[in-house]
Amino acid sequence: MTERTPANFTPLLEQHRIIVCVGSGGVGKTTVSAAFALWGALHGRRTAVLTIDPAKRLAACLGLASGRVREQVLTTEAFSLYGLSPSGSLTALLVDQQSAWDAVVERYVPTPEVRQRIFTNPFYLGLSRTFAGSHEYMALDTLATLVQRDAYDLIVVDTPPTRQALDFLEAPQRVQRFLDSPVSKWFIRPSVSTGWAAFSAVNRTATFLLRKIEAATGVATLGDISEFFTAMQQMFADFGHRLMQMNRLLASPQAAFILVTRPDAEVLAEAETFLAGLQRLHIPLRGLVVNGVYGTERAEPTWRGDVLTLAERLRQVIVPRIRRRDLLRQLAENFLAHQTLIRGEQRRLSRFYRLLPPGVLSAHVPVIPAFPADLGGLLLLHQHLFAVPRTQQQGRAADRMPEPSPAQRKEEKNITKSDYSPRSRARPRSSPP
Amino acid sequence: MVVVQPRPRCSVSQILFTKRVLFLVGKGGVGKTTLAAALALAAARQEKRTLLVELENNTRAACLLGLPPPLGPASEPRAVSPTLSTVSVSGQAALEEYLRLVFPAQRLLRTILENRLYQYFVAAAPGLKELLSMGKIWYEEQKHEQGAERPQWDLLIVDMPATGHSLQYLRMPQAAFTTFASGMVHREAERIMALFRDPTKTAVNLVAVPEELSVSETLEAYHQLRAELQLPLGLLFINRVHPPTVSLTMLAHLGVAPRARPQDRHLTEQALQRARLAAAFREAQAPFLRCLDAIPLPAVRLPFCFAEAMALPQVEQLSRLLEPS
Repeated sequence: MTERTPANFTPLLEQHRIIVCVGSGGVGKTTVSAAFALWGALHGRRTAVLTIDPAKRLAACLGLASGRVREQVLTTEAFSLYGLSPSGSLTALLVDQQSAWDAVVERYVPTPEVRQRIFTNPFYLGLSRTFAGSHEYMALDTLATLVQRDAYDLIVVDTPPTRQALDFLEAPQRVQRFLDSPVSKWFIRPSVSTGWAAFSAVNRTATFLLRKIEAATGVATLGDISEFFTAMQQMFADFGHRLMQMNRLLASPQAAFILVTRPDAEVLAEAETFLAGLQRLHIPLRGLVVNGVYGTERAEPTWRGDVLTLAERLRQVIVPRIRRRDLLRQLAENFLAHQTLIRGEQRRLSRFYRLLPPGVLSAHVPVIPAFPADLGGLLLLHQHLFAVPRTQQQGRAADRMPEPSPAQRKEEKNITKSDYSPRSRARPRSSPP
Repeated sequence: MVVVQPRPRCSVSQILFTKRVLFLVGKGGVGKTTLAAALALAAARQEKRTLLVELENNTRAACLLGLPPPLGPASEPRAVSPTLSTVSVSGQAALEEYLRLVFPAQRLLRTILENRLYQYFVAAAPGLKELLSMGKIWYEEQKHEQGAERPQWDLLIVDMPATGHSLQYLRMPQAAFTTFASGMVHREAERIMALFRDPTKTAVNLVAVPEELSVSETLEAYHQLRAELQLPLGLLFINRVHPPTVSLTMLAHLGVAPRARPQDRHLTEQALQRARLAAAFREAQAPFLRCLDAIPLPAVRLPFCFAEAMALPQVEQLSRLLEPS
């Protein structure tokens, strides 16, 4: 087991305007995204974090708790609770797919009547709520709006949890493919909405069979689909174009992709799919964050003997002496159990690292019991994402740490402060690259 | 390896293995698939002819049980042992199977299935895939081998997707039943509902880990299943419970003897560090375990598995914890 150098993502965040965090669901992507965004705010950037489904407490700390709030600037009070006074700002945006779809419709519909028709169209309701990949389109569309507004120096995107690795990036091509397909051309033909008749000329078999399926399942969908597409013809053309533009921006050097994962076998297997997907799309991976790591950066001691011998060794070395055999045994068993976990973890990670292209910055975040889902938790993450080599850290912490506030003192149980003081670190950029 | 004996306040086999269909519902990543595989092994050991059902083309449970990854869709049951088989259900495949029953003309059917309009129809019709997947479970429950009197399976164990999506699946028969006042779907939905609502035949089981997100999702799912969906509930499985360990208070007083040899010092410091981590986990879990106690279902606590990797031996071990035989 080798020693690792702690990672520092500072240069990466300084060099890119858009940070895209990708990875499977449940790996802590939202938290890592929020931590990067917090760094931006503390370092003079006007920062936005685009998030999908934050944990309740994290949402609360980002000011997104109250039901349908979709855009929230973090207040000075929220920062000062943690002894922070940012020189930039932090805006959290929640992508709610239903309202994002509604916003898209609003942009394109010609009249209130058409809007009303679409908003009550069963196909539209089904599409906007459940349609696979719908989240991806909407996250991209929201990102496009943000980039156009040009109100932010740093935008961190927390991508939706998908099993189909990079749906997020492939969404534009899918929309385009769909628009170019004969299927959509049928739907967009106005006559279709009048019923099945228009189809019979096009595809007799399909019509016959679909009518059978409709009868068998009782799901009358085709008329709704047609009506929706007819009304939204212009929207789909523009939408596809907009998504294409976003795709080009994401593939440009302005954007940096960071893969978030965990050392579990299944999650790493999904991470491999992400790697392959990025390669296929010719998008370079810039960073890797592995959450929930049991092993530390230092080499682990190994014990090749049995539990009882280890318990005996511990009895001799631990002060004050422990006399209870059961406690010594628990200590020994726990150590060996963790060693087993770490062995598996190291094997999986080193295999994964061999697949990684050279030059990818990587950080390991240790497993943290009762991780606080609030700004304190994000600061805790900063220790591992913006690590300062140990020797420097001690020197800096001593002479730069500001007088802690009571709230900070409370936090210090969990956080070993390094240098979060925005006053000492903030170097606001003159303009985004 | 540390193994804590769970203290089941009930016998898993008495409560669950007398049913016909068991659903496992819980947040993504809490260990539903491993638990489903372990339950299936335990049931099969008791000579129950068991079918382990995975949804949405998943084959992870099958792989855990040692089957190779299938080359195509695994929509036909594959045998693991004489009493245990697995099947992977996808809404699309289930619809095709269903249409095959409705339209016996094979060539015509192939034309539909290959038609892009049809594929779009399937993708777009809300809830159709969910309904048909549930229909496939009903179909497997009803299935008899040719000429045989007893049904082909004694027990179906269904590894469901993450909570929110699971509830969509379980809600579908009811939704279809009320949406379509008559016709084939209405009748099918009614039959599926009758099976799922029968407490002698079906049990929906919750799987949780003692962590914030999982606990809040589990509480929410419990109330929805009970009040809105009115489905019969089985057990609450609490997975990855950390074993009792030396307390943090005591650990705070322990250190390494100043005259210890360097290699002993490193080893002991690490052992104490690992003990503090374990104790912190144990303490962090305690309040969530208490929250889960508020759910009035018989609970089974399962220990955190300290293994290098999850594979058949770990599943086997878990199955023996569930049902010592």
